[in-house]
Formats: sequence, structure tokens, C-alpha cells
Amino acid sequence: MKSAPLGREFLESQLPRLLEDQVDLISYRRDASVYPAGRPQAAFRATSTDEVVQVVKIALQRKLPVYVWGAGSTYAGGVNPSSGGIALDVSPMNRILAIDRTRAVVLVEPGVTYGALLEALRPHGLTVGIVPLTGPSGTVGGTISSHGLGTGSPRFQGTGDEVAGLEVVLADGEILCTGSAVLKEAGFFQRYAVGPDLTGLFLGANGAFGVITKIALWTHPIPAHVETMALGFADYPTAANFIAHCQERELFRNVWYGAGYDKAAVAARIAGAAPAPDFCLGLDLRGEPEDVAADRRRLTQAARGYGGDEYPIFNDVFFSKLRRDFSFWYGYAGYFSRSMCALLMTSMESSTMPRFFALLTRFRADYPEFTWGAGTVLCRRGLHGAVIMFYDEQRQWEAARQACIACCEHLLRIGCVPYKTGKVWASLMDNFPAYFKLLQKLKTALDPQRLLAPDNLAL
Amino acid sequence: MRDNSFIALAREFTDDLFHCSRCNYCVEMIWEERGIHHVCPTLLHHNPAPSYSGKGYLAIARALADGEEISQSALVDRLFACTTCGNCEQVCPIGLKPAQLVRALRADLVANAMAPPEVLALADRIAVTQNPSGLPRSERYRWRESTGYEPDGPSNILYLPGCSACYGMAGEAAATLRVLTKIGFALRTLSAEQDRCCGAVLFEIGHLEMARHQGRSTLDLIETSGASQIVTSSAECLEALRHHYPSRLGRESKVPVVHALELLHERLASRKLNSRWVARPSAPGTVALMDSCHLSKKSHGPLGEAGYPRIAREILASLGCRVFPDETAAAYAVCCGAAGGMPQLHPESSLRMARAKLDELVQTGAEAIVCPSPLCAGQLRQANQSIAPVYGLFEFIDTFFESTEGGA
Repeated sequence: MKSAPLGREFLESQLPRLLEDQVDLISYRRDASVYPAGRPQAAFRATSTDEVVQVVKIALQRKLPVYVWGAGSTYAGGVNPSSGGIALDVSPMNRILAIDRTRAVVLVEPGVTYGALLEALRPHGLTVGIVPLTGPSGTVGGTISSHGLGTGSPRFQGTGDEVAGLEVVLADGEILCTGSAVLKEAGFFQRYAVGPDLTGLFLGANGAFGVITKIALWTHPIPAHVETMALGFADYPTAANFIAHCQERELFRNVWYGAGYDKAAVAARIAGAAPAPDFCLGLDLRGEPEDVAADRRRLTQAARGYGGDEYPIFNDVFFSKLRRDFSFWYGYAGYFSRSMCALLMTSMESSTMPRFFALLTRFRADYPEFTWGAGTVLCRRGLHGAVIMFYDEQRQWEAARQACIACCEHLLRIGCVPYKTGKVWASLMDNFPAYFKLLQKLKTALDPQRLLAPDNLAL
Repeated sequence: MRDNSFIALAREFTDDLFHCSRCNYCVEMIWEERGIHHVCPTLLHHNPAPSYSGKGYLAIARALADGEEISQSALVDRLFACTTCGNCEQVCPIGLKPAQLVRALRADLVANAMAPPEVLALADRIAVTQNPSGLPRSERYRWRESTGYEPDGPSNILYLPGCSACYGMAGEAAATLRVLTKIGFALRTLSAEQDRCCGAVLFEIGHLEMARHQGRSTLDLIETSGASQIVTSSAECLEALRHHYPSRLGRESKVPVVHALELLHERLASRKLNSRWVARPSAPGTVALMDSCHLSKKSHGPLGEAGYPRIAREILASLGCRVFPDETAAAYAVCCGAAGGMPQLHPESSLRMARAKLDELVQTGAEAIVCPSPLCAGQLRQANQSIAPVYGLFEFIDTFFESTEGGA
């Protein structure tokens, strides 16, 4: 869409802290994805819900697109202002508003980082269900807007599943509270209230339906004991069967993080110290020591039933350190040091995993100019799979983008569902006709001018 | 603005410009286990817009490299708001160098006559008085008169206190001389007429022409002094002598240079001391050590990896003090605002940074704040509103500990 002229004088009079200098706007052009950068006409660093309302109302009046920014560290192009307009930076909204121990809810503003949140909860003996893998600088708002997962996923699935309710500014400037907080006197404690779950409409939507201004997350006690282990399997099908077996019997109940690595990844980590299995599953178990010990025995026994076994060297040289030294924050572990990388995020059920890794072999053959990697993250149900393509941004940007689109199509065909959709998967939304049609209707109803984060989810 | 040399310079940092994955670590991070509590002093206390961050500087340089027009005034404003402390480089998981990029871009702005007036005024003060504060040259060694110190016979060890100690922390300069003498080092100093600014601050603010001039004259002075060893208590002078001169002048000091901390630590660690240091009754039992960015961050060349935070802690621990925070935190400490020309360019922001640093150190519950860098100690003292006593490290030892026997 083409945005209307900014109306600078008007905007300046309404929003005195508006950033308009090009040197400021450069920082609001793009995230780390292969999706092209946009050029916002202005940026505004909001400090309150009232200011967000003000920006949205002005945007509506002037027909200006609004792209909501947190840390801007995603890989799906969600924040890239492809239609210009205003980059609405909510990172200054970084207050932890309440830690409600009785309700087991923490209420935060969207700009709160996970580092700050964990630090605030720790003295209370609490943590949140999902801590994303990107690192301590990721914001809660950005993570839930783009479907984050990470530590906690084998127990709780994704960040969206741990949201008790939201405060959202809609495209007309109206403020909506979802879940039990729909009744002001009740506040946030339950996701479903009155009728359908409206919270979910705004999760993973990259700001397409509203601007999230408050988030209620459920809290959990910090587990008493932590240990890691690694299991090795001779091939992907048996590993997939093992995962399905454990999920069916809830053997991952004390697993807070689980990551699957292919042979190349394992071999690189152990540096030839031993023959690498085709697939290795690193598991992080947390809970009461006796429960963890019992589950560890059960998991090893189950693995043996599928021809696998404990693979301690991988745990010792890599996986245990990834937890101890880097808290599974892959970004901090220097994962992306070789070059820029494109991440294609998908969800899949466990039997799809062998085809997922087979596809990686195909990508390597079809696009030898890039370095390819892949990993799977264990979820409570199914798996999350990430295809990682390392490329030289200076020379290969456009080729990398084209390759990504082609790879997304292949992933769809084998049953991998887009996750962290943003704009990277947007061209493939026709593959989900009924779902996409409903999204379009909802967009028309909630944001008829299509001003909120246009182009995300192809809306 | 569009300037060919500027674009070429930005391209020198190509690896950095095209590898930033916008993880935002250099903008804001809290990681308790690592001792990281925020990152960038400029974002915290000067301007929170991302264009003032490490990530922002890389994005700006990328735009310049792509040939984009950028307003000169905005560029100057952003680039001269950085303390160049290097904490952004410290937290960068892939080793990008935004602080070094800022220094390089500053140099180009200055070379193209785009320097802010504060930079030119600072250079003028140094040219006239041979110190950044512009105080009379004749006052440089006034503190030495109070010590009544005269070396016993000829000495081959030359003590260079540095401008920040001589003019801002004279007590630390005098205490360094006294303490090092007590542990057996015979030191001598230059005269006020001889000694001069080493140019460290000029390297930081990008006035390379004058920095090189100061560097060459400092090296000439050292090499004609007849000294066999140079001892300095200034982290910035040490960086100039060990890092800037070799890398930017292509000339190393022919005379070995050490920090005063190293001499003290070597004597304590090797147990060569005959003297015993006894705490006076008023001696604080717990101290908050304020680490200098110059001595603790990898952005400052070999200094950042030489282990000074550990050395300072071991010295204080050997005197029986409990030290906060631990060494891990030192690597990620947020700058006090004394570096990078911040006090001259943005005095109010610099003061806010110092006050925040003081608050942070007071919250450790320590009885005193001790700082091995005279520049940082002086900065904290200026900002101090009687909330906590601040000492230079040698000043602390000299004030609260008594040497029972002399000599090594």
C-alpha cells in the first residue's frame, strides 16, 4: 500500500518526541531477516498506553501505516516497514507492573526484556514458562507477537500458550483487555472468559490486529534441580518414533528444553572424538532431584527400546555448556558468527522429522553457494524445526531471499507449518485458503484501512 | 552528507557492517549470571534512541558505505555522544567493533573539518597547557611538593602520573609515589616543564593529527629521559603507550611501560615484601571496586585482556578487604562517563553517568569506593554528593594501611 504524506507539522504538534531524522530512522528499517528493508517516515518511542492510542489515532487520521517495534531482533521481517509510515517503538514501555504470587501472574509492558523479567522474578523463586532462545535482550512483546519458543517448550509449548491475557490498542484507538481482565474488577488470571479466546488473535500476528500494550504471563516456581543429558540415535525414523513414544506417555514432563541435532552438527561439536550418531537429542531436565533422576532413567530406557542410548560425550562437550554458559541463548553462543543467517521456522509433528532433515540434504545440493544447517526444538506436542541458511549479506542477499522462498514451498509440501510467519512466509498464505480468508475478514473488520503492520501475514 | 573518504572508511569495517544480526545485546541487556546490568551509558543517560547505540552506529555506517546522504549535524551529534567505553563490543557475541568504528569515523569527521567546537577547544587547551583541563602547566607537579619526596640517589624508573592524576586526583599521584617507595621502588618524575599530555584523549575524540604529535613528543621525551622503565598510574596513558602508539604511530616505546598496579601486585604476589601492611582502625572492611573501562574491556587493545580487574582485586584482598562486585562483573561494567571526551562534549550527561555509577556502587553496601583509574576516581568525586567516600587505589592503601617495615 502507498501511505499518505506524513503531514509533518501536524505530527510534530501532536507528537513532540517524534523521530524524523534519517539518522534515527535507519535503525528502524529492518530486522535480521532476508526480507527487504523498509523506510519509515517517522518513529515514535512510546512510553505509555495513552501514547500508543495517540499514535494509532493520528495514524488513522492521516492514513499512515504503523509497524510496532520491540528489540527488532526477529528473523521474519515482521517489523520491517515495507509500506513506510510510523515505526512505533514500544521498547521504552519496559515496566514490570505487578508480580502477583497468588494468581501466579506477572503483568508486564511489552518492552520488558527477558533478562529484566527473569531478574525481577528470581528473588520470588519464580520464572516464566517460556524463555526464548534469542537471548536476554528480546522483549516479551516482540516474542509473543512473533510466536517465540525456547526453554520451557517441552512443558508449555510456545510463548503464546503462557499468556494469561493482554491489553491491546485496536486500530481505532480503543483499548481492549482480553481474558478474565475483560472485567476490570477481575484482572488477569485466566485466558478464557466470557466467550472465545480473543488473546490468541494478537499472538503471532506481528501487530497486524492491534498494538499489545500489556501482557500477563503465568509464572512458575524455579525448579530445584537442573541437569542435562544427550541421547544418540542411529537414524531419524527411530528418533522420531522415540519422541512420539515419550510425548504420548508424557515422559518429557520434567524436560524444560530439548534440541535435536543432525549428524553434521553433532560431528562438528565433538570434533571427531567418537563416531557421531545420525541424530542426537539434548535434553535439559529440571525439577525435584528424585523426579529428574527417575525420568532420566525412564528416558534412557525408552531410547534403548528404539535402538538409541545415552551419548554422554555430546552432553559433556557441548550441550551441558550451552545451558551452563549460555542459558540456551543461541545468539549469545555466537551461533551466527560465520555470516548472516536466514531462519525458516516451522512446526511439525514428530513423524515429519525424517523428511525435514532429508530436505536439508536437498537444500545443500540445490544451493551449494550457501551453508546450511537445521535443528529441531522439542515442544510439548510435536516439534519446532528451524532451517538455517548462512549467507554473505553483502553479495548474496537477493539470491538468499529467492532461495528462502523456494525452501518455504518445499517445507510446506512435507507438512511443515509456518511459524514466525511475519513477511517471510507471506507469499504462501494461499496455501491455507479458509484460514487466510478468515484472517482477511478479521483484518477488514478490525483494521479496515489496513494500517496496522501491513504486509505481515500478507494482510 | 556525502564524502568519499568517509565512505571508504566505513567500508574498512565491512565485516562489521554486514554481520550485525540486530540481536540488540548492545542496546539493552540484563544477564544476572554474567554480571551484566545494562550496557550503554549513552543510551541510559544521554539519549535512548537506537541511533546512539552500537547497533545504530553500525547501521549508520552501513548507510554511509552504501552512499546514502546523511545530515552532517546529525552524524556529528551521534558519533560524538559515545563514551567509546567498548561495553557494546564486550557484549557482542560475534565480536563486532562499534566503538572502534566510532573512533575511526570521528577521526574522519575531524580530518574533514567537521569536528564539534568542543573537540577543537579541547585540542587547543592541550596545545597551550599540555593537559585536557587547561590548568596551568606549572601546577602539574605541585602535589609532589606536599610529599617532600626525593628519590634516594639516581633512579632509572620514571613515574608518569598522567594528566588526570596530576590535575584531578593529586592525592592519588602522591600516594602512588609513597606506596611504591615503601615497597622498594625508587622513582623519579619529570619536571612540570618537561611532562606533557600523551594524547590519549585526542585518540578517543578523533583528533589524530594532534594525537600523533603528542604521541611522538611523549615517546621522544621517554627515550631521552634515560629511564629503563616507565610506571604510570593512568589507564589512558597506558593505553596510548601500549596500544595507540604502536597501532597508529607505528612506533613503540623502547622503554618498557607498566601500570603502577603491576608493580604492587608483583611484590604482593611474589611475597618479595618484607613490609607488612597493617590496617588502621578506621580502615573499611568492604570496598566497591570501580573498574576502569580502559583496563577491563577488550575494545582497549591489549589492556582489556591483561587481567587488571583481577590484579586490583587480589591487591585489595591481600590487604584483608572484601571486594564487590566480582571480576566477572568488571568485564561488563557500565562506563562512569569519564571517557571518550564525554565530560567535555556533554558535561551534564557525563555527570548523570557518574551519579548512576555511584548509586550502583553504593548499593553493594561497601564502606568505600576504590578506583584504580585516577580519571574515573576524579569523575566519581566530581559527581559525589557525599553519598560515599571515593579513593584512588593507592590513596586508599596510603590512607588506611600502615607499612610496618620498609623495603623489598
